[in-house]
Amino acid sequence: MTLWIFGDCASRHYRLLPDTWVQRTGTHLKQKILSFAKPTSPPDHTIKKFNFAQDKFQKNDIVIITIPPLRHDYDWDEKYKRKPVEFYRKYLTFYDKINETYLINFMYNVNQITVKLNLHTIVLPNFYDSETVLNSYQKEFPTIHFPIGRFADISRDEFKPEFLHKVGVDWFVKRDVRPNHVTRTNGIEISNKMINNILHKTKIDLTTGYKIGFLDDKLMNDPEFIRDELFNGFMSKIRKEKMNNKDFIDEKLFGGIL
Amino acid sequence: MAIWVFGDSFLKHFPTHPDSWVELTSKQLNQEVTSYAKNLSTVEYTFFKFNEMKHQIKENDILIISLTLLLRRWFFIERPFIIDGVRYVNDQEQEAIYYYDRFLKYNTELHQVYAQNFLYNVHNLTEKLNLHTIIFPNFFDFDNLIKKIEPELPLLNFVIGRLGIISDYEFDNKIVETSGVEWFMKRDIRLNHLIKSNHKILSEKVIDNIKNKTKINLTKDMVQGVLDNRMLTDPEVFKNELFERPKI
Repeated sequence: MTLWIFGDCASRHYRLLPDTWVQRTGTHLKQKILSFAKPTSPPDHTIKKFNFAQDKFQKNDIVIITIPPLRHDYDWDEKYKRKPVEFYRKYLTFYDKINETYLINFMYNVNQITVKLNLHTIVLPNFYDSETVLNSYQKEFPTIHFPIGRFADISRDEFKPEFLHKVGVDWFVKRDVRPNHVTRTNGIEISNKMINNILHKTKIDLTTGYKIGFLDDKLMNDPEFIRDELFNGFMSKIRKEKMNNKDFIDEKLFGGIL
Repeated sequence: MAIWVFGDSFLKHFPTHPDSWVELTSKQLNQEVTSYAKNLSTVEYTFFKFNEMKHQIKENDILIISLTLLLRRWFFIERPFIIDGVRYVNDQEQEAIYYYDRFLKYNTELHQVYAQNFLYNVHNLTEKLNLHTIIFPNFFDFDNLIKKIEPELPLLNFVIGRLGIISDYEFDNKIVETSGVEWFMKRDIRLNHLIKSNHKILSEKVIDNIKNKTKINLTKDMVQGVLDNRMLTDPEVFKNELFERPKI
């Protein structure tokens, strides 16, 4: 059996970090992990990679999908495509709405393969946009496991509200050094909930049981905290390495396949 | 029971033209038609409209869907059709589309995946409501996809042949060789891009499929090679094979 992972940074597989939620879930369930999750991945990437991989699914495999924000321009590099992106956002934004339709259609594909192969499938919305779409369609897919709540909220709620208010949400998006955008403690809790769902069909609740309201920039620079909660600064090292080496291929380090 | 139609100009319903194929089919089966087929439509509009309307589709209804050209994009909510060149867009919108095409657009493989997912959605509803569903792939864009997934979607009636080809083959080969199909298509005054004879044949094939499950095969029986440039000027040709000239 295999644990298949699709999505964006929220579900990226860090093979070298045993307490990140994907690795921990795979280890606990004694499953081989095959991950197609990629940071800054738009929904298009998730949909396409799922379609590519689904022919290789076996009976009773486990599939976990995190749904990125429903925007086409999510991974467009504005540095090199400034004008096209600016024009897109100004005149073609309706095109983003079509992503909702693509997500609904995608779910029908996920559903049919889940039924056909008796998969255990979990679909996790990261943000409000995909949650709204999925909520309105959940009853169509009784075999798929949907959580209560949104993945990104755990990440955001780890911060002290006053700190978040001061720096804005974008601050931690750009500077975040937490693998999957959560600390070790909450990564373990996410993993526990996945395992309970897979083994006992317990509903995944992303709104309770997490450590929240404790994080600020001071704590993120605390050596003890870095050691205990930020995997000894693993992500900081990666970021530095990336900045110093233009040929750096981080997939080798993270262990994911793309 | 009712007939639901989603797609492009080949499937557009002309209720005031009793000889047009959707209307002929409707009358023969005594079914009301609800159509979301539009000229220059995009697959995205078809996907969107299907999801929007699917909750109104009832048990045993008939569903007719066409998959149009893959590269058409739906950028503006009030204009759910292909934007070609300078038509239908202002300068800024045109520039935005130029940049999108040049720098941002995704590959066609992805849109094949979208179409596949859509067909799973359609198959699911067909099964749930015991619909009779016919899929017209009007061009060649989805041939490989259909070949791959047709066995997985046994409840969908995929048409053999392409309406886009039937439309082209109505022209006399010699004329096409000298003027090219494009020349005629730009001046096309045929409803659904078909002459009357082919409307009748197409309707018969669709009805036969609905009643007897006979596979719809557009590669045989259709009238070919009868149109030339007289179609625009000769009243007799116009009377026999073309409909009353629609307003363009």
